[in-house]
Amino acid sequence: MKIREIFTGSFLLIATVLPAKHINVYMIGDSTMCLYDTDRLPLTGWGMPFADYFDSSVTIKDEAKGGRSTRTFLSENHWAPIVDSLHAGDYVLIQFGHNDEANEPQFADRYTPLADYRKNLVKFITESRSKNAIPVLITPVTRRNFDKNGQIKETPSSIQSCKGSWRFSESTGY
Amino acid sequence: MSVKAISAYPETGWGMPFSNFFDGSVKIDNRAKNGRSTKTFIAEGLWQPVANNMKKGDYLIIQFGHNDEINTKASYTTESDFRNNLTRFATEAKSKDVKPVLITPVTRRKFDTSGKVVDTHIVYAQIVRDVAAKNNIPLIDLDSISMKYLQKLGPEQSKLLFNRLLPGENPNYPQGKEDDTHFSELGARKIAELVLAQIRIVQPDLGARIVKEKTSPLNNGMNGNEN
Repeated sequence: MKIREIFTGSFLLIATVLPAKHINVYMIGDSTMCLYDTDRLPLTGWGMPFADYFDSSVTIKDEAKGGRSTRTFLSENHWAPIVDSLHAGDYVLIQFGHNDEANEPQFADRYTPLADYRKNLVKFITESRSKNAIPVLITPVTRRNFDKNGQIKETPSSIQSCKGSWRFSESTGY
Repeated sequence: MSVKAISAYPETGWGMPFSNFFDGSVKIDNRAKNGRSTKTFIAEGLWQPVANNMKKGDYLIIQFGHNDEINTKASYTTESDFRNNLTRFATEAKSKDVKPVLITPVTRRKFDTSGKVVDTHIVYAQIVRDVAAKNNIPLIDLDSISMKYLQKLGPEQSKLLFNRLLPGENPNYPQGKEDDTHFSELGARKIAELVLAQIRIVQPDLGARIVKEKTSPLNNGMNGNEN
């Protein structure tokens, strides 16, 4: 009896001092989110300071790449290794659109038609979930684009991209 | 000027970005500490290791004043002690063939009612200038230069240079912060840029080791298009 009490007591003690389970937060996206080497400073992706604001139970893995659309992020094989290394409870922050939506001829290398953009986002989400990781969709961060009245403008094609992410998140509960 | 703890971010000392703009032949060893005056920097034993470690050909960048000049602070340093301590740092450097640079204290964000920047370092900045002149030490008059820069930005825009945060805006400052002395990342970088421009003038040999624009296809071809 006494031994059991001691055992139970020790168990509870251990349970309360166990640190939070360590998780990884993967970030996939474009130049607005990615890491930059010091020789590119002061150019800074928002993922860089973002990483400074989590406790030691979290490792931020910023895998975003400048110039990449959902299509090229996949075709250059940046996504598959992430899926392989995902663990249950990890997060995947997904922010694409700036390069997907670039339909000018000089950006043909990155442009992603809307239907493919949607399909690729679905792929990121379903493959994250298949590893019991938690995907978070982020609409593309704004550009600095004001009209003559000083009113912020949404980059026309961004609206499409945002709606692409949005509609998907609505239909899936994200 | 100091390197901040991550828990203090986004507060940023200008020495932090400053160190990113030198080539591989230069190591920046930032020994500055928040809250220190020349007096406490010496008393706490922070100076002696610098004096011991510096070697011929090194540079010694010296910026104090914010904590020396406030006579209600424990760090308060009398005018004559401030003069003596600065002289000591610079002459000890010279005696080891280390090249000192004296920097007047960087401005605070203080504007009068007409929107004019107020010099909060009148007496102590002048002491730095005097020590530099008397001992023939290169001077960066950051007090004046940064005041001009803040004047250009004006009372509102200049807020972005400082660690000013609304409640709930930043996890490290849930109550918010209205700091008109310590810099944000942006402010630290802008001040570092002002200092770098002066380094080219007052210590051209060190200025020659500031990084140059890369001419790789990566930088050239991009023109901001690599989103």
